[in-house]
This record gives sequence, C-alpha cells and structure tokens, in this order.
Amino acid sequence: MPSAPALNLVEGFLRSLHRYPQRPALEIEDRIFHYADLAHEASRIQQTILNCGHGGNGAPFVGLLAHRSITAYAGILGILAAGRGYLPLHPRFPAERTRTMLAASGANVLIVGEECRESLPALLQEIQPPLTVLMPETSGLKDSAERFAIHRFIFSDRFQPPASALSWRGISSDSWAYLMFTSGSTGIPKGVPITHGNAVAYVNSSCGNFNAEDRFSQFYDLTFDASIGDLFIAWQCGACVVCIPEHSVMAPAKIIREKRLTRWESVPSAIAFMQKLRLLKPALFPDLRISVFGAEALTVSAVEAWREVAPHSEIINEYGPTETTNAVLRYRWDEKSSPALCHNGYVPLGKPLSGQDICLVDENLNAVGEGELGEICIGGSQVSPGYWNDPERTRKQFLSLPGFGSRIWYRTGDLALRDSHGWFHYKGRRDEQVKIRGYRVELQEIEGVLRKISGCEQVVSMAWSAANGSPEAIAAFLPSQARDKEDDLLEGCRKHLPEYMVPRRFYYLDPMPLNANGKIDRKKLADFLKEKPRE
Amino acid sequence: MSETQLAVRQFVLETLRALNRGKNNELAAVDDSCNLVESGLVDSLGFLELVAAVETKFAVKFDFSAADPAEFTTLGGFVAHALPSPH
Repeated sequence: MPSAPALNLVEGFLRSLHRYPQRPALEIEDRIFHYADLAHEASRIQQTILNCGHGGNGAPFVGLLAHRSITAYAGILGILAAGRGYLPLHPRFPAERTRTMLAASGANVLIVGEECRESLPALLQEIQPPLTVLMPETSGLKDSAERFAIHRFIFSDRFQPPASALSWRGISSDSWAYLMFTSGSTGIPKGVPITHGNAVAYVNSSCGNFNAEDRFSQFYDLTFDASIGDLFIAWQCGACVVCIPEHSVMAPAKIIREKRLTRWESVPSAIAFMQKLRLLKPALFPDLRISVFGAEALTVSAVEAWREVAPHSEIINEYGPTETTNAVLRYRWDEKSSPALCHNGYVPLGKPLSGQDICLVDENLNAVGEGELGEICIGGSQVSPGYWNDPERTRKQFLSLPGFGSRIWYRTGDLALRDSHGWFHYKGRRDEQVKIRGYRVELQEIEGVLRKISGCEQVVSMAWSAANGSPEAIAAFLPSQARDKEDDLLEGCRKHLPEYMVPRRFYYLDPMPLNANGKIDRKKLADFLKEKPRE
Repeated sequence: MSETQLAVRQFVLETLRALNRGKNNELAAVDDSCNLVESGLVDSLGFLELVAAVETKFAVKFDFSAADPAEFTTLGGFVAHALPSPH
C-alpha cells in the first residue's frame, strides 16, 4: 500500500526508522547499517553541527566532502536533521572548482569522510573564510593545527553523542534540502538550490511501487541530483540502499546479481559499458523488478538489451533537469505498445509526474500545438526557486509564460514535441549544452578555459562519441599554433574542470572551417569527428 | 606471468602515462595492487579504451564475465585477464 506523503526528506526516513529499526537501510560492500545504525551515525553528525558554534545561526548549507561511505550517507541525513541543506562535493573535482562551490554556497561547516582526507589539504590551503571541519571517522590529521590554523577541526573523539532519538525540527517545505552545481556557460558553475517541498514532491510521487523488501542501487555520485531518488525513495519505503563501490560503477553486473538488487537506476550508458565489457548475459538479473534510466536519451536498442538481462524488470525512462528536482516526466516501457510510439529509435520521455506541468513554447514563449517542436518549460511543485545568489540568471530561466498568469516556469533549453497520445519526445537542444555520460556540460565553459590557456581566440569544443552512440567525451579544436601547448592545455583543464569535461582529443586545424557568417562551422567539425577513426 | 602479459603490463603503464599527462599522479608508485579506477588514473571510458587498445595490439581477449571488478580494475588483475584470443 502506498505510504502517506512525507512532509520532508527526514520525516520519510524517520517513519521507516520507527517501523523497521532493525532492517537494513544501507549496505557498503560487506558492511550493513540497519535503520537504527544509520540514525545513530546521522544523529552524531546532527548534534555536532548544532553544537559546533554555527548550528543556531549558521549558513543555510553544510558542505559534504564524502564519497560512497557511511559519512556520505549519514552526513546527508545529519545535515538535513540539523535543519540545513547539504552541499555535496566530489573528491575528484579540481580543488579550485570545489572552493568556488563552497564559497558560493556560503557554507562555514564542512563534513569530510575518511576516504577524502587526502584531498583535504589541497582544498583547505587556499580557503580564506574560516571553516569548521567535522571528520566523524578520523581521529586526527598530521600538522593540521599548524598548517590550517585558521580552520577549526572536530575529530571523531570530540563528536557529540547522538540524541536519544534522531529527530528534525524547524524544517518547512521552503527549507533548503540541497544545493547542487551544474556547468555554467560563463565559466562559473551554477548553484541550484532545492527545497524540501521540491524534493518530497518528487519522492512522494515515486514511492508507490516499493516496499521494505526492496534493495535499491546507489549508482550516482552525490553531486548528481538523480542520487536523491536512490536514497530517499528507498528510505521512505523502508528499503535498503546498496552502495555501488567506485570500482564497480562501470561494471556493476556482478553486484546487481550478487546483492540481489530489485531496483536499478543509472544512466543508459551504463548498459553500453557493460555490453562493451561483455558482461551481459540473458536473465543475468532475475531479481530486478524496476529499472530506471535517466539523464541521457534512452534508445530502443538499450531497452531491448536490458529486457534480455533483466526479464522480470519494468523499464522506466525519466526526464528532468536539476532545476526541477531530478525528474518531471516518466515513461514506462510497454512491450506491446511502446515500439510504435518511439521516434527514431528513442524511447519517449513520458508524461508529467503528479503536480508537474510541461508547456512547449516557440522562441517568443508562446505555447505550440500537438506535434510541433517547442522548448520544454516546466511548472509545478518541483521547480527550484531559482539559481543561488544569481537573480539575473534566475530571471532569464525562471519566468512567466503568456497566458499562464504569474505562474513561474523553468525554461530548459531542451526541445521536444508532444504526440497525439500526449507523450513527450526529446528532440535536442536549442543551445550548445551537451550531456557527457549523463553530466550536463556547457561547451562555452570548456572553451573559456582553452582560450585562456592557449591564448587563441578560435577554439571549439564538441561532444564526441566513439561509436555514434551517446556522447562519451569532449574533443577540442584549436589553431595549429596551440599544438605545442597540449600539455599545458591538459594541465589547465584538469585544474579547472571535472574529468568528464576535460577534452579527450585535441585537433589542430589551420584554417578553422568558417560558415557564411564568418563563424566557426561547427557542423563541419562534427562531420570531421564522425569521419575521424578512433585513435 | 606470460611474455604477452608482461608486454601488456608495460603497454598499460605507457598508456596510463600518456592518459595522465598534465596530472600530478605519481605513476612510479603504481604497482599491481593499484586500482586504476579508484586511483583516478582512468575513468570508465578510459578503462574501455584500455581494453580495446590492448585487445587490438596484442590479439588478446578479456573475459571479465566471472571476475570481480575490485580485482580486474587493478593493474595486476587487468593484466592477468589478458588471455590469448581463441580466434
């Protein structure tokens, strides 16, 4: 029976805690944390945040530098239960990018997992405003007092004891739940704050099919907003979250089978990776009953491959940008009716979730009719209040539409059409944003870095696909005078950009192909990439 | 370790060096137990590229179907799975 809607993300977890304290809530490799164990760890973190001096009147967000560990998951719950939003940070992101996010968020408390201690010095050495660094699993850092004198450290032995029961207070539907950053065309990542109201709208409309027997994959990095589905749908239903270890993210076949997962969620390219490693066999995943794919276009061929390996699994395609809380459209594959509905081998995006609306608009923001191409605008309870501390960009992307009164819609930049059955179909972008393995990438951000390092004005970056499938990486084009600087270009890109945005291939062209308007001809460069053999 | 596997090992190290140009990773510290993915030396795409490159260059075939990713993503585990192609 579907559970009653949760009031906030913590309350959904607490309900399961009270019903199933001794059922597994989290598995990390061979370690099992029951709901009571996870609540205990979360409460330690909550209490320490509340008592570290920034608790009562602190910044709205707490940084969380932790990766697929107990601190990562208990940290999220502890931060939320303390009435703050979490700012997930990735240990592999360049320190400079992480510092930018921390500074933009205004966080003055940072929680660090033991697995991230090595990346901490590079991060802290250039941070000026003092931070309180909470390390729940770490007993000390060498020379930390001298090296990072401006910061205050609280190690595991100084953590507050957990409260007798994990609880939440002062969380309303407008309270911040998390802040996630996406690539920004100006070179500065955009902060997208999501409220508890936004997040529970998504989670509440996704819980219907699950129960306490279910075992959810936790595939996505926490910096990827799809991770909220892995975690909070599971915890609201009393199910277990099974962490996919870093080494298995690209080859999860063994863990899906051996951990007897019942729900899988990933980008569709995970299927392609397993196919390329020849890991998929018929009926390999007999326990899977729901498989959700999102963040990239889902092809019919990927669905067919997955149906063969997971014959008992329903297959769901989800669509939605970070600004509207993970997913607002959902499509359930139906063996009989779906093939005829697909366009050009792609699975429909689906129909809106409860409480969400889609309006397709032309360039003047007027709604277009059935079968006409338009830009997807999203309205409803999952729409973020706007970019963090960026009113100008918020005004541009979160706006009202003619004929819809004062209601706010998020303008996605994605193009789609609605067919006569009401299904939406993805038709590309109206700008130069691309997706690399599910991550949103603004090509202008990469080009800005390349331009700065090379000193060349004519630089182009493009999504690059090895086998005409989903884009897997970035290729860069520069004038031949930059050829000698390739090592500098790589080093500079790695300093500023996450790995998935660092170009895999550099091509040097003289002259660059130009179109009739005198601009670099991207179409010709795309054709060049298609013809270029894989090197 | 067969001669082919020794050559594969050398090739993998050279490829890692090329892939990680501009990074501060200390490749000298890479030993057989080093996990290539967890250490950040390759990402998922880089791992696939490594598989394809080794299969093409050495006429070997990787069979990871029964293997544990924790093992075959280490340098030693990866090399151990490079077996002569049956064709």
